[in-house]
Amino acid sequence: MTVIIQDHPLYAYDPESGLMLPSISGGADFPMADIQRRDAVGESGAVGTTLTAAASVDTKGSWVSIVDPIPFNACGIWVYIGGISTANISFLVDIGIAAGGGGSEHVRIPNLGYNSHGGLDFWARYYVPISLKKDKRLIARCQSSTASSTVGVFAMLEAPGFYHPSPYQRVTDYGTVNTGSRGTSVDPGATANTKGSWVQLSASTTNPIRALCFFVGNQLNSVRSDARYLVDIGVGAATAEQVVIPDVPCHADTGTDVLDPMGHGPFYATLPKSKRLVTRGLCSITDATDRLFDIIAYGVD
Amino acid sequence: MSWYVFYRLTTGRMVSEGSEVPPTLDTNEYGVLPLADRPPDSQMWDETTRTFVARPVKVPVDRVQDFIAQPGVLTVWNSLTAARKTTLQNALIALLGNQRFRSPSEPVRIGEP
Repeated sequence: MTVIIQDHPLYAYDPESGLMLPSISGGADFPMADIQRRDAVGESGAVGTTLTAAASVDTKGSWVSIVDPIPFNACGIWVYIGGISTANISFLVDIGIAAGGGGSEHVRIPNLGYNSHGGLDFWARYYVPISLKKDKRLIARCQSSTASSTVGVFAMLEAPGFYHPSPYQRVTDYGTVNTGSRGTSVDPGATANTKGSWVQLSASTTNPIRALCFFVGNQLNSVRSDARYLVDIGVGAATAEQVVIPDVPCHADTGTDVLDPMGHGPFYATLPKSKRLVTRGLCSITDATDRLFDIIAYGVD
Repeated sequence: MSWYVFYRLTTGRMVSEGSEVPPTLDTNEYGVLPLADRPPDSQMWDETTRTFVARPVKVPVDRVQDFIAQPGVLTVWNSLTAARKTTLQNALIALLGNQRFRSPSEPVRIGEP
């Protein structure tokens, strides 16, 4: 079989002229991403598959199957966490795979954070560009700040097309605090609308980072004030930090008492391992309790 | 785990915190406070004393008390027997659910911006 690839310039939209013009670099006309199929899995009446935390606080419960088997070799997964718990509980959810039919569970995405509101109003949504192999069993489990709590989870798997770049293979969490099933606490400081001090999530990252997601949590504060936040992610030694991801917005309000959105990213980056990973925040209010939030970062490589 | 807080010598403003002191730290510009561990959320940085002080405890407001304080309600409330006060209070608590307590800055009326 002979494959002929026609090499012609890459065209790009020029906003000034309104025309599609050849790009300066030229090259083959390959898209940057190519998703051929999406399957939603684990949904159950729009509340997701139920996960139950262990009878001890801050302890992972049993694995539950989301889909068996994974229908195709996936290059990315959307994870939705939310729905069916009572108010003001903090969760950490693992997404994993296992051999079809059971056994050999393996965590692929650790400790995705979620704060419950007490209704069905808020979902934490994450997109993680990692590979998940066909015919494995997609599974999940959770821990919570209140024993035996339940939460819903479902997912959307994406299958790559011919041109899609190779997906990543690994997710490493930074800043997870097991006690309270939450993230590392961040204080934006006593001056409104001014960036606070940098907080260390990791003194030395375990693995390189090619994409970064993160969770912003509510500190289990169920009487929050209205507030707006901007979150920075950075790297570098103390007093020499550099911003990698600037000014990601989220907000809290008195009605829901969660920070929204909870899940952020992925933000693509190229960070070697063994870097000091840090975060800081800005808040529109100065209340000493309500300005606080917590954060977990997820490095993908 | 040892913990270090870095602050500007001129202002006392905290700029960073972590588990290691970088060898390149400019000690003419930054001070370092060594700690046995990261302080809990019950403490916060004080720029004047350049140490951690107790974070003010947040006292949420009980909407049951907001209800009693409504114009005219207090008179009716005071006319009730203790048993009837308890019955009414329990019914309000059940009805309010997770909206029973509010932040002092939050409006009295639920859902009001």
